[in-house]
Amino acid sequence: MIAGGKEDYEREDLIMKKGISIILITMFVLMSSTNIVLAQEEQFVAPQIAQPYVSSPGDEGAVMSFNSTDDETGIANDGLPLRRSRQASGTIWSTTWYAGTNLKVIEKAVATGESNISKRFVKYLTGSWAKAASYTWSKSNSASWSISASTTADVAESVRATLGLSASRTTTYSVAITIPATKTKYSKLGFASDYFRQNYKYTMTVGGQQTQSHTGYIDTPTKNSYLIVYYQ
Amino acid sequence: MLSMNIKGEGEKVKIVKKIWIIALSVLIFITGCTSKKDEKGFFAWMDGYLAMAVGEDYSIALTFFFEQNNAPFDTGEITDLSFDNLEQIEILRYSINPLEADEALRYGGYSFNLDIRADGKGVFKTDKLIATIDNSSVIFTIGEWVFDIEEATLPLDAEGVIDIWGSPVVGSNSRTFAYDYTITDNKTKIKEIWISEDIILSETEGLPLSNVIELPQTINAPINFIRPKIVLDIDGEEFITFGMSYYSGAMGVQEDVLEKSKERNMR
Repeated sequence: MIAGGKEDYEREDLIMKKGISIILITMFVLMSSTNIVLAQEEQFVAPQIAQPYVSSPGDEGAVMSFNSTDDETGIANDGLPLRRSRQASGTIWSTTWYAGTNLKVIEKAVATGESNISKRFVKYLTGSWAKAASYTWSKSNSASWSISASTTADVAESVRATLGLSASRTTTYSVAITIPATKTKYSKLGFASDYFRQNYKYTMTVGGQQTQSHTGYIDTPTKNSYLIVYYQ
Repeated sequence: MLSMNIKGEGEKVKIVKKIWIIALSVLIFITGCTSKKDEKGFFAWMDGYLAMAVGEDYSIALTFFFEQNNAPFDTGEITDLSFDNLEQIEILRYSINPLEADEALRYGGYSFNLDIRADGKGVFKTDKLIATIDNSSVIFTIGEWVFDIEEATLPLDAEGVIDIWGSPVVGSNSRTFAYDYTITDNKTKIKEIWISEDIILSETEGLPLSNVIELPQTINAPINFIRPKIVLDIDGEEFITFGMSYYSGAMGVQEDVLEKSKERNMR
């Protein structure tokens, strides 16, 4: 009985020692791996200390740093991912209604062509012309759609909605940009965008007689937008 | 004897319990340290090809992101910055500034604006930035950067030959590179534009002065910095100059870009 207890005791003692060894080895390995990372980080000796600098925005030849906000919503939605739900051919949009009891009025817009406009200037992002050596930028912007002077906003809006030329606004992040400029000339930082132009002809007929007609276009910004330094 | 065994076993149980408690404490401590490391933030994944002249100073910007209101360090805590294993490219000055905070976004960030200078001719590569924070060196992964340093054979502004200053500098599309140059002399044509160390745009009759190039699949970071090397043919003779830097995909950056960056660059 006593002899059996001793054997049990020795077996338990061995198991306990093994357990302790495993725990200690595991701890040693984990701590060693942490030390390796720290050791690698501490091996580097920096060649020299670079001093941070602070620029004075607006000074000639200085770095110009600024932020701007979205004109329409104030949210970051640069590079509007516009979508186009269908190709325009023939009649883009039409509506029929009655004036009085039986005078039929038909309004319609017929596609007359389309084109792409590359890197069209949208707006300046800096206020005044300056001889800046560089610009830093870290904010989003957006372009908005525009229409020809000959058309009306109501018709253009109807055409735009029918073609699915609408913006799906999404949350976006700003990343830091440093933009070189030549300080020998006055410059401003500007925002440009590619545009899709839809041409159309609008007509209104009242009781079978055409009463109104004009041609127009809608320019809608695409998802391709740019920052460009503009010079005087 | 038996009672002694029982007493001894009781003590052993206590010792084992103590060892387990110590072991668990150490493990929790180590685990805690590891998770703290994971929360240290990450640089936006931006690969770069920067062609520049020997001795030229140039500015680049990198962006560091972290969980909103959980910045791993303050902007003033970094006392030195250098590229890893890249003695030829010196960081002359730097400034670190918080990006405008937007509490609605998951991540906040810092801009790292670096003024650099190339000291030797050749092609040099790095993907890490070393920061000294609180007297310790911390290594950050930033993206694959290639510095292609050449002897410029035209004055750096190449005034009177080619005007590069009005060329686009940032584009929302991460898959394109846009340029727009002006040449007034009809004896000058653009022979080559290097947009990476091995991707060269060229045309026998001269490249167009303005174009938007689809980037090849080998350039695949969500944001790409390209400062091209330009080879001009002036009356039959070749000259080297450099274009405007262009950040492709650096506008309208959505959260998936940050998640990719986090996956790749998180320490």
